[in-house]
Amino acid sequence: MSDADPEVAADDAAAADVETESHEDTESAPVGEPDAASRVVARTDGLGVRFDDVQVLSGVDLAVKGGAVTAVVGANGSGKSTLLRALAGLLEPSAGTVRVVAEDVRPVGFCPQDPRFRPHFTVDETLSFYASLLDAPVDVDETLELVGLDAVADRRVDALSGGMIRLLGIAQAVLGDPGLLVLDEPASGLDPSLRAHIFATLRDVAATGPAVVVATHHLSGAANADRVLVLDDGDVVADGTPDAIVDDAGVDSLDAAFTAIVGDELAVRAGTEVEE
Amino acid sequence: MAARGALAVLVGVLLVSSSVFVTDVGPTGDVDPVPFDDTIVLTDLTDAERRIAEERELAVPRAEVFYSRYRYVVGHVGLSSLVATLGDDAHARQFGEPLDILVSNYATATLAVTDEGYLATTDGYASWVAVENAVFVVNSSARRPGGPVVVPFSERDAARAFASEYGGDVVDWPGLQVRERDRGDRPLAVEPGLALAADRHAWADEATADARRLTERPVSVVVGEDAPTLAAAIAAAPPNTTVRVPAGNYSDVNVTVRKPVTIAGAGANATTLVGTGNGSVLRVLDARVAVTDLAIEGVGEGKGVPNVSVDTDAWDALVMRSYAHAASGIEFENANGSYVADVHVTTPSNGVTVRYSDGVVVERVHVDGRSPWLEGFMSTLAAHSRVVIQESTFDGGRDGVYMHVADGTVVRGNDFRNLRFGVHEMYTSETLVANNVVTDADTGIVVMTRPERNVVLGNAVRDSGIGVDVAGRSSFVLRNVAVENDIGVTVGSYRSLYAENTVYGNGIGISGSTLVPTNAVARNDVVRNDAYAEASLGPVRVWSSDGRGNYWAGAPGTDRDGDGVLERPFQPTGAVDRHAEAVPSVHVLARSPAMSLLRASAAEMPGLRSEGVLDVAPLAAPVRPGVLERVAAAPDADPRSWLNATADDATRSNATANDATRSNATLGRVAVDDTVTRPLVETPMEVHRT
Amino acid sequence: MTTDRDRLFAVADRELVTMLRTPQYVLVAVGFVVVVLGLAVASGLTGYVPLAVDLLAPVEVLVPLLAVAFGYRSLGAGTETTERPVLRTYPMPRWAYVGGVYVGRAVVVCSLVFATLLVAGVLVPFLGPEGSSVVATHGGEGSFGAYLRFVVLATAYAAVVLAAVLAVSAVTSTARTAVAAAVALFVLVTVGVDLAFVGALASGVFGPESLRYLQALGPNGAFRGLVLTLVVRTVDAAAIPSSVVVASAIGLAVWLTGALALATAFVWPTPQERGWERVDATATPGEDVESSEE
Repeated sequence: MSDADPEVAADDAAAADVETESHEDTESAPVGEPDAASRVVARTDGLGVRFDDVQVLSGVDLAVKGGAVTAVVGANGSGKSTLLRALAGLLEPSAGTVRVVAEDVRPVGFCPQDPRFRPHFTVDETLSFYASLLDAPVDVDETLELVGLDAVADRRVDALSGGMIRLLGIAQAVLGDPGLLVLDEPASGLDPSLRAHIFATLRDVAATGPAVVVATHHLSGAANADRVLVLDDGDVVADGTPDAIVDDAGVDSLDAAFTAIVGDELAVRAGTEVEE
Repeated sequence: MAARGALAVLVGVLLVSSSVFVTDVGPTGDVDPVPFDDTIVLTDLTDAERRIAEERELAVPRAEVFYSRYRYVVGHVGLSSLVATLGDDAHARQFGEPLDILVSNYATATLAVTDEGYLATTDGYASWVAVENAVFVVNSSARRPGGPVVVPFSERDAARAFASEYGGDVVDWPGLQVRERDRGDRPLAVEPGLALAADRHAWADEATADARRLTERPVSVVVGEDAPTLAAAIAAAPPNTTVRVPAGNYSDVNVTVRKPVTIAGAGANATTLVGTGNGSVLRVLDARVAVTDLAIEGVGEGKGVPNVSVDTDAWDALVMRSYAHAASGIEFENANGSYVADVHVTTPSNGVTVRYSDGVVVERVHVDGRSPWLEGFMSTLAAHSRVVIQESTFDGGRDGVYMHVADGTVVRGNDFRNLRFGVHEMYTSETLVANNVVTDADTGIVVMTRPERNVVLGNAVRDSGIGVDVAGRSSFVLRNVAVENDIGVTVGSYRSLYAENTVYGNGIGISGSTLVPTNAVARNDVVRNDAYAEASLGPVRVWSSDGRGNYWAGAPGTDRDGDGVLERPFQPTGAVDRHAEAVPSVHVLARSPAMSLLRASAAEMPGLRSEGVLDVAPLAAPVRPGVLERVAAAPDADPRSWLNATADDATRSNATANDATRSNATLGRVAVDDTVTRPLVETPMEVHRT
Repeated sequence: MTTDRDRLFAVADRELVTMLRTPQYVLVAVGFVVVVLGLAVASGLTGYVPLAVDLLAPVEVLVPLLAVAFGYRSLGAGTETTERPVLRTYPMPRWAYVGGVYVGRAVVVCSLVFATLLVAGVLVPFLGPEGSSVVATHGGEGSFGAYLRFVVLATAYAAVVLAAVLAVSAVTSTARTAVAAAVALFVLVTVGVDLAFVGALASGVFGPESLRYLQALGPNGAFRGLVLTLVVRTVDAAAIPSSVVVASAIGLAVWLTGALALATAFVWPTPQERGWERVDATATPGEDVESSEE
């Protein structure tokens, strides 16, 4: 599946401001069929967000497709979290719209940057609580297995490591099979092996159908994504497969590409982060 | 679904509990009468009257009152106390509103009036009727022992029928209340008590002056010169003359006097009459007999004389036989206006006994009784007599003054020591006990049974079990000084006033012992007692009156507005406040909000609180600082010296111009001069300025 | 199919279990029980109505404290970036969430108040002073029913104050503001309203007659008024018209519903208000998303 995605992503990147991308797949494929995974599940049109006097996002047009992992990369304050929260419907845009295709009662799954769960509940209880909010019964064990927490299902949250809590956050976001998964820095502060596990998990999740949008400042994670979106000061400054971005920048690594695109401005922006 | 279940349970429980809002939870509604013996009784009758009523099976209407804020049923014998307590604001605060009042209903009985005018039932029994449905006959010819009687009926016709036969008016409950209140008790204030004392002093002064005239009789016979023996001398003496008994010992004296003569010795340390050691030494059976200036010894041991002629049917036959006819130094019977002065009696039994004789004056007498007191008996005894006992000394023996139905007796300026009771009143009302000093007694001054309108004023009691213990009602315990007793003052009466007493250095300062607190306890100085107070029976007592409480030394609080009252209620029996004097650091705790909360709510419905004392207006300064200073400076000094200090207080305080205690000149037994005849309450302040 | 009511109780369950498993809440609860029972015993336990009188003032203070302790961070504080955004992605209306949190907390707080006061009342016949066995008694000390009225009223008072605390919790977003606001609410409820009335009375803004009804404006005034009227039934209270009782009851009800409504309005904004749209994929698959601009 990942073979097909770069193509789509490249289309998007090429036509960032034009409604040109093909939707043959979605037109021909009824909901629930395997091919439906590659259809557009969320779209923003001229999305802008202001907090008081600060324009955090401006004129973002974006379409994300099911079955793919989209990495949103940018410096602190570039608008990553704001974009994600806008996608998840957690804040009100000051301009433009966000539309999300909802196949189920839960259109969006969201995992905040620092997910917190009641410390005195077990992993299973925590997930079961969230599952009970959904319309239809959900097999919590299956979800735990998906994120790799089945072994610690009966462990209390206050006995979990930081990585496990992130995984629990992901598990919670996955519940109810939302078409769009939005995860804010799910691997920040974790060691590389855990980080890799988390991104691998995200890929596994994406493989089941939903569009996965993940903010990260770890380019190693972004390198495994189907599509990379580089945000700088509220603008999408680069959009494409990791390879395409590397190629466009004329460098030989994502790291170098990132530096080439936004590097000069990093130092400037470091002092003026916008906290959301 | 724990929450669902818990919510269901909680809501269910709350819903069920909420049914209490639609049901009546108050202590209202019709009540059933309870057995009268199970009520807490307030009575119009003294015990003497009660015993007469019981003996003759008289009818005295009763009432049962069910208060909103008092858990016990209060019973009334006679309806005067009922109306009086219902009209009393302090009472309402303590007990709440009367929810139901039941009164006797004589419509179901047949009534008659005895030859003595007492109401009695001849057939059937009184039932109960709610007071609002009752009608009352007042002002009829029917009486109860000791006063008029109000006769309640459930039917107006029955009341009218009774009134047509025995006279009187028919009134309803509101009418009765108005009528009874108009002739109500004296208010519980110091001044009325002092006025009562002044009246009785005046009577005693008059009786004293009258009796002293007996010493002015001409000498007609001298024993040893004109007649060989005292008996012969008396036989020879014409009435209204004096028989002189020169110095010397006169043995085997066993004399009965049946004519008004004066028997005068050469002095208590010169002339000694020695009895036979069997029975009394002198018996006086006529009015106006005087015995002066001699000593009497050889009194018999006999405490109970079996073959005397007492009315064995009388309710007090036992007392009359075994107490009033015990062997005595001098016995008086039917001897109105007689006189005993400057006589020293040494006796294993009674000293001076007075029966059925009014106006007998006993002064400057010294009675040595037996110790321990169980061995001795009554140094002076007044039975069915109104007497004056003053300026005398009683050492040892059982009781210094024993009164049995001795209404109106005045006991003043005496010294009592080393005996059971200094002054012991039984079935005796309207007395005055003033300016006496008692030391080393079981109880200094004790009033038993349920008499009324007694005044205990300005006495000092030290080193005794209990200082002053007054039962009965409408009595006044004023300006006494109780020092270093086990209990200073016992509040055991009803509707009585305990004021301006100085209670110092006792084990327990003031002890409340009645089930129904109806007394006023205010303006007392309570200092340096191991415990300020105790009150073990009944509900919380509020010991303050008209916004003035007592001075509890060390009571925490401040008097910001300078009205002399601390702005903080004091609980002398409270777990914290009780230590306020001894451990000043408890003041910190005492001022805590938690304490304030508890104290504030304790004042709210005292009738339902158990035990303890609450003073809502504790005083910031002593009421009689002069007395307190002298006591504190010399607790082991002659107690008379404390009483003198009231003079200081009188001059210091403009609040009370009247000073009920004696002036310096009369406190000692130095002389009986005209100051005695001066009504004490009118003594000018200037006299005391020293 | 899960209903919103199921969601409400799922949230309530979680709140309930959270409180049962969190030592701080357990400590606060134990402290409340100890203080109330301690005060009850210290008061002498002489009768039901005297006990109600004794506990009235402490309850007026302790119940808001309990509500603040159990409620100040239940809705907002500390969860605005962690827990609440997650919950918002589930199909749960705000009222169900607020209701669930309220039910879960109220069940604990109300049960605690009810049970503690009930136990204090049950102690009366056991630990209270023995009446004289030879003297006839009647219901002068008040019936258990009267005391039960007090307990129910105190429980209702707890429910109302908790709702107010929840509203504060929802309105204030950060933990620090929540504490400050909760404390402010506590002070307002316990003394502020009464002080304001005293001041207004003193300055003649309104007369003592209107005070009767104005007291129903504050939850504690309404509570106190109801207790004095329906439980203690002081002589003065007997003269209070029943309209005042009704006013007090209405006052409490308004506080309860108003506070919960406020909490609901502030717990989070409705996402669909503007700029975010959910497109039904099954009706027109894909179409809407891609052709919406046309």
